[in-house]
Amino acid sequence: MPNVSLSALPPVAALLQTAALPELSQPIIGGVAIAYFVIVAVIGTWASRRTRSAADFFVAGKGIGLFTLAMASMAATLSGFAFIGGPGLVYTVGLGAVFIVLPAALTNSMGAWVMAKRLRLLAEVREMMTIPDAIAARYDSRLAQGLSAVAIIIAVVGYMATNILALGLVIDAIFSPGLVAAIWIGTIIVLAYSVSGGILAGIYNDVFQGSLMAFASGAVFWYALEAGGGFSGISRTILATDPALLSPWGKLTPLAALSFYFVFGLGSLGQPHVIHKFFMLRDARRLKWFPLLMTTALFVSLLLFIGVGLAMKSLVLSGATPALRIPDDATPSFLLLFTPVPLAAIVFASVAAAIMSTVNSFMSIGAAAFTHDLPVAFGTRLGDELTWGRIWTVVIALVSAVVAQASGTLVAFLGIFGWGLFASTLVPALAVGLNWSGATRAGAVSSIATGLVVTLALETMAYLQLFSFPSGVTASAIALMSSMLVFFVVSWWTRDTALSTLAPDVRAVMEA
Amino acid sequence: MSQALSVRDLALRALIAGVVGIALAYASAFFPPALSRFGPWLMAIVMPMTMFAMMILGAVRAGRGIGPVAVPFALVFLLVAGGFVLALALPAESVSTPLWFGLPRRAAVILFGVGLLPLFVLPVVYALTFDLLTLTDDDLARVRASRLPETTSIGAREGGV
Repeated sequence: MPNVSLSALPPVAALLQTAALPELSQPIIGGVAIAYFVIVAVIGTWASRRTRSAADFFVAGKGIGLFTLAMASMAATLSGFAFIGGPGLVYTVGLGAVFIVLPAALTNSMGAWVMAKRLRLLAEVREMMTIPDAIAARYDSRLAQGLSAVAIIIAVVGYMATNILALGLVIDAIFSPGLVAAIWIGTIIVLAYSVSGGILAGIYNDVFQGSLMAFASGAVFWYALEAGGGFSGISRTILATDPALLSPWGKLTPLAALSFYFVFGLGSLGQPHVIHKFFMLRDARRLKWFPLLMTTALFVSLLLFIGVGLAMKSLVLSGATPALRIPDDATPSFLLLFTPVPLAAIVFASVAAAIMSTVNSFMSIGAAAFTHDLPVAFGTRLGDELTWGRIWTVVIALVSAVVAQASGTLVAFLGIFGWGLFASTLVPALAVGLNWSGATRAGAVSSIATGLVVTLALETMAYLQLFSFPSGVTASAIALMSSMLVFFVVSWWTRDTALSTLAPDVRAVMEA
Repeated sequence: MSQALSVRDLALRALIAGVVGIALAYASAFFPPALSRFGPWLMAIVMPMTMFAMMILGAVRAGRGIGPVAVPFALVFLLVAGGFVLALALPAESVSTPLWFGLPRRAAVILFGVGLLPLFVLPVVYALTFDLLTLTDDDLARVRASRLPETTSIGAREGGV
């Protein structure tokens, strides 16, 4: 992390891994990592043989089952932050960091009620490939589609750069090839299966990767409780030395902790790499069990986030282990000191899995924005979307890998606004718009533009240190609120036009 | 029909009020401490209100309201908003404070009340009410029947801007 106080940081800035991990070059860890990469390659090769069209490449041929959807959504939701940065943040600020994952109790069910059915039904009446497709269909607007595609492209490159850097750090820690080489090795591995098999390869790798993440997290949580003496032992140790860590807000202010909950709760409705997977479900009626499966998988996968951060702090405070070099060492140090080496090896493979599943999803939506959304927004379509999709996947990956080699602060800056940009540009127009027939095209276009401008302007000014917000106030939150308010005000202002842009088939979807 | 409309309208108004409330909560941070201390309290109530208003907006059905999910929604809302308010209201713990399920009282309220209990409620409610409230075979057939032959199939229709 950059050397700035946490209270001054926007939430997402705290989620970026830019510091090196401790060296992990043990034979078992290296062996498990190689085995993991081989399995990923085998799945990718299998999937690539089934990728014959742009629909296969971008939406997995709309033929996946419920379990696949749930595991893939979970794997795409969690990046390496859940395993490295998250526990480090809990170690540093205590329970305040938990407010990042706390909304998971609501978000999957909220997403199912608000988004899943509508998006999946849209795919029954229109040829949905991307989230901007859904926005275009809802408002009969190519401008809204183009603007949302631009927002997605900007966010994707920044997000991918941070994730590729994190993947490079993991590979460097295990195999020690040097960070630059590690970044390129990681990029080439993800690129190989993403280019050949597209989202189809990504989805089935996500199932493997998500299962690995859930298993590793559950097992490590058990070891964390055992090492710390259970929740009671951990609490007593921390309360005796640094009780603020176990206040409900940790070392954050109440407003800062609640702000995490707001941005990561409501913002979850606008994450295109997750919600576009609803298009892929073979049978809309199978959504019935989606929240239960997804919530269970996510819950188990997040146990490590909470358990390791608290246990490691307790172990350091009690003198059982030396103080950490940096907070991001919490998970690696705990694994090397308190878990069997094979489990540690699986967790490190899981970190790579978490990052790779997220990167693949970003590659897919980024390539789709270039290949499909922008041309459609300009009133045309590319002749061979499958080939162009592959070309743009390569271009985005290469650009992101180059950006990932820039200074850590710049990479962190680029990654900061990803979540906020997605949320502020997509939540009002899509999440509200698909459930409110009074929303208008002007309202949608204005809110997307507002989210885009406010996020970029505020984050850039903050990066250039032209101003700083009071503790708890973040650019992401302000952008999300601004775009919501603009959406409502402009829709009300132009309410006479609401029904004229609502096609009968889309209306049927919204009334279903 | 009018009942469904009123539930939808109510949810929409609650959503707008919630967003305005969140804006005010953030705005309070720019004021002196005497005013800014109310920000978290306001946030603790309007933020769950916003999220549940959004859920109701998604769940409400024309002619059917939100029926069987109304009570679980209300209970979980109270659990989440009440948890935040309790965490703000209860005094800080000391080392000798009794633990609740291994955690200090306020931390337990947040982790178990806000973070854990809703996990067991909402996904189950969604599954149990799916056939009645969310998507029936008839709904699906109606949507499929609405597919327009002239639709260009991608994004905006001809003439869309």
